[in-house]
Amino acid sequence: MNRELLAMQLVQDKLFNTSRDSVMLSGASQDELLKRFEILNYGFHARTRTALATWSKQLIEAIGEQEWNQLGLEFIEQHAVYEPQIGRLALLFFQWLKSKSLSKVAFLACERDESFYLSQNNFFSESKLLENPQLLLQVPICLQESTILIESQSLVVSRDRQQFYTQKLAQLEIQVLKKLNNQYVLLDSLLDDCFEQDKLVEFLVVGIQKKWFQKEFS
Amino acid sequence: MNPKNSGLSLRETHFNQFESAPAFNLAFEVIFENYLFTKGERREKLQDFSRSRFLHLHGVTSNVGSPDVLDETFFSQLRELGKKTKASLYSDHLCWTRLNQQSTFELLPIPRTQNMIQHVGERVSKIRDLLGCDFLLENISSYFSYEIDELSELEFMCELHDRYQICFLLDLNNLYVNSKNFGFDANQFLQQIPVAAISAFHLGGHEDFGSFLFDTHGAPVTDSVKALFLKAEKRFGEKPTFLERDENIPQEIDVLALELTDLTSADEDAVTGVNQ
Repeated sequence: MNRELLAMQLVQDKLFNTSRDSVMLSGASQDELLKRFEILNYGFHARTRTALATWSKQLIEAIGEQEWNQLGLEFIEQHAVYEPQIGRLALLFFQWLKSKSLSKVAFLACERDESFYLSQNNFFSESKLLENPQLLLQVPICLQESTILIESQSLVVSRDRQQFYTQKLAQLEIQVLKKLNNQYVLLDSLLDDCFEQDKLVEFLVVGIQKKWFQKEFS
Repeated sequence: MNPKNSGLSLRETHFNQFESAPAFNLAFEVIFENYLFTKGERREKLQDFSRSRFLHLHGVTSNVGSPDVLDETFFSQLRELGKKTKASLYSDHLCWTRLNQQSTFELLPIPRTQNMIQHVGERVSKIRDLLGCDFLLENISSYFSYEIDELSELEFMCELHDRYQICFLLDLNNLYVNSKNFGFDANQFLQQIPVAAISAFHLGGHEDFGSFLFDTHGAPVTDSVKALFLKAEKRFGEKPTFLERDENIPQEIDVLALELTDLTSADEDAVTGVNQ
């Protein structure tokens, strides 16, 4: 299958703009093929950029669109092709970002975006976690799994679980809550059987920083 | 169109609306990669939908045409998802998307050679074994071909069917786009592909880029594609039919549901013929 492989390799090179050679391809003139590949190449960048931007709202707000675009492009050109699933590209992006020397604000925003991504894409039900709470202790999975736990709670918070969370919140240091400026909002939300997503993420960041879940389940 | 097993390709925009759209008792098709690696409520919701509606799991990264090693874990996960959601159909595209472990995130045409017939045939046989059921392939839109091609698209698909009993999810928009981009007769294609080879239909919109048609899934189905669909239904009978929209997605799912209803209740004489 050597000739087929060579032909497909050429297509891949053209798609990634590393070759302008259209030998082995047909279906249109060479100029026309070039034009069509430019559209496909644009599609590759647009698709991957959208896959990152969809989940980067907090980071874009924190560092601005221009800087985010530069980071996104750098990531796409160096790493995007290695992820088989475009839906998981954002997760790889967050991990890559955190290995770079980001400002503290950008790092925190990145963590929040990552938490939100995980809460939407990879959460378990509370019953599963209660069966196997050790899931929460699998650092660095801890952040992910704890996000998962709370995400489930945001949908159905039973009366006895409200009490559980209220007590846990009360254990948090007041200055952390003040800095996040959401202490009372959070408590009210809990009592209303409702967590709002943005407050939920802040709550999780605090919870993880305070090793709140480890305390509970260890 | 049989309304019980036909419907819409569900995209993120409409995920929460689908549940609350009882007026349109439609089936739905989902991109299975969006659920394969997800646990918890999102997946449970899909299971809930599938209790009362026909579910089609459609993929974009099975990579059947690539020489890369087949990812068997991927198909085991798909099998598990299919079992939990009681999926009625499984499919992906007759294309390659990843080569030398590098993704293109694009559906790219396979060189149409005898070698590739054997390669794709054996891959699909393996996938069927892993899934324990049939796995349809969808014809893609393409914008170039290979000098080494030995067969036309029709011949390639017919051989895959004859030698490996592969059945197809026939995308009538893709068929129309290719017929214009490569200058063949779409009606003749419909007449010559074996009836037993076609198991389902896709409908979607394209855009005219001047020198070629581009499959954007960003516009309503054109009259020409509608005409092809009606001819296809006449020849192949009622098959599960799904309307796709990936760009310019209307905020309200009802808009697409109405478009599908209009399409499937259209009179053949009322729409423009494909060659007119």
